[in-house]
Order: sequence, then C-alpha cells, then structure tokens
Amino acid sequence: MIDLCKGDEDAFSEVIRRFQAPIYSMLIRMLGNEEDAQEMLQLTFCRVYRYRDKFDTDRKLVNWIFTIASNLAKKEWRRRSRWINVPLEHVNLTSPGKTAPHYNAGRVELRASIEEAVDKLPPHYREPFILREQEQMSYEDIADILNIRLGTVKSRINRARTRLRELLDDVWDEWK
Amino acid sequence: MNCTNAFKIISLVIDGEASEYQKRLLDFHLLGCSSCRKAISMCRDISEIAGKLPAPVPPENLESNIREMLKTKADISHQEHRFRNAFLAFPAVAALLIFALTVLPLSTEQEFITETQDIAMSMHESKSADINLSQKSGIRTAPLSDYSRQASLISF
Repeated sequence: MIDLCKGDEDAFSEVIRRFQAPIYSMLIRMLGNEEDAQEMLQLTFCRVYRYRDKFDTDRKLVNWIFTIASNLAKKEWRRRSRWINVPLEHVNLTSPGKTAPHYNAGRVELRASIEEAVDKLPPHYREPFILREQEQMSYEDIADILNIRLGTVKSRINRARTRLRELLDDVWDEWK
Repeated sequence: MNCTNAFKIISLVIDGEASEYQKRLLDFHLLGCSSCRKAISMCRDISEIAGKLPAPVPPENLESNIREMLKTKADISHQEHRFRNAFLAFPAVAALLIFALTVLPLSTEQEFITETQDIAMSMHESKSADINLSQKSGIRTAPLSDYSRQASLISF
C-alpha cells in the first residue's frame, strides 16, 4: 500500500489482482446481477486509486477496500431502490459427464436452496453473513468494514442464521 | 437458559467466538433440548455449504477497464452525472410541491368564494322582494339580518 501511495502502478495492479475476486463475489451477492457488480467493482478500484492518499495506515487494507465496495453497493441500492435476487447461473447444479450419487445430488439441491435463501435475506443481515461465511472475516473486521458495533455484527449474523433456519427447515429435513 | 439465548450462543460457537463458559452452558441446554440440537446441526451444515458457494469469476479485462476509466476520468463523470441527475430532480420535485401546495388550494378556495358569493347574492335577491320601508324616514332598507349574513359570508 505504501508503494501504491507513492504512485507505483505495479502495486495497484497487485491490489487489483489480490482483491478483485472477493470484492466481486460480495458485490454480486449484494447487487444481484453481474452488470451492476462489474460497474461497482471498477468504481471501487478507481476510488482506491484516487483516494490512496487518504488511506489510514492503522486500518487493514482489505477492510478499507471492502468498506469502499460496501458503501458503493449501498448507494446503488438507494439509487435504484430495488432488490433483485442473484441468478443461479453461477451454481453448477448438474455436473456434466458425471452421474452424482443421491447424497451429492441432495447436497447440490441444498446448496442451491441455501444460495436462494441467502439472497432472500434483508441486506443488513445478508452483508455481515456473507462477509463471515464466504470471506471468513472476524467479527471485528466486519464491524470495521460496515462501521457498526461488534454487538450489532453478532446479532445480525445470529438473525441471518435464524432466518435461514426458518427458510430452509423443510429442505434440510428432506436432505437429512 | 431458554432457546433464544441458546441460539445466540450456537451462532457464536459456529463462528468459533464462544467462551468456555458459554460452551458449557450450551452443552447443558442441548442435553434436554432436541430443537436446539437440530438447530446447531442445521446451522453447521448451512455454514459449511455457504462457505463453499461458488465464487463468480471477475471479468478478465477488469484492470484495463479500470485504467481506462481512470485515464478518461469516467469514474468522476459517473459521479457527476448522478449528482447532476439529483440536482435536476430536486428543483422538479420542489416545483411540483409548490404547485401542489399553492395553486391547487387557491383554485379550490377561489371556487368556494365565488360559490358563496353567488349564494349570498341569490339570497339577497330573494329577500329583496320583501324590502322594509322605514316608517319614519321613508328610506327603503333590507332587514338587518340580511346584512349580517352577507358580511359573515364574505369575511369567511
């Protein structure tokens, strides 16, 4: 980051390479479609570059970039005032050339149901849940990224799980 | 401990954030609660599968697009465009509000006044038939009640 602050172009390329996948993954879950996610992804890195001088070195770089992406996503929600579910095209529901055993088929079905259920969560529950489960972030980092208190992170993740449990109760029983 | 509190600890246990004391409390609760046993099993499965959801692949030409945006300052114009939209939208909304708050009530009020004036005039005309003639001065005057009613309607 120090190199990036000095205007090192290679350092910027490295930042893009390192963080593009997790940021894109989060944005696509937040915004619900590839087009918006790609637009916000580009804007995120543009902001990283433009505001590199304002980066607080006491913070983690990953948290700072996630905060920028999260704020852009929130602005987009407000602007468009709409929520679209993530298309399930990213889920390989069938593996070509393979006949999956019954258990695995059920697991794939459960996975699709979980993905669908996650998309149904309200945004303020979905965001910390995704950061926790997909990005494996600590509660402290999530609190830092979303600029909320640690207790709020815990309660939102807990409520997200409660909601998911309600949504997936029947599917999980069948799968078991 | 009730099931609501137990579920809070279940969430912490799954994330590896529960203390030893909380774990012991939960173990004790789970001994006698089948629904919470099901809940912890279900949450573990959800957590495991949600952690392995396939990550979408970012576009290949991302870096070149970003550099192009930075070069052409498209990201700034993107923000400005949105700001301009908001800037244009605000006066339009304000104008509509002013129109709604001023013109519409005025027109209805005007209609009401003309209506009341018409009523007053018609009442006056109907009563003018029985105009009183002052016995002392010989001046023809309408009854006092007519004047007072007319005045009150106009002032209203």
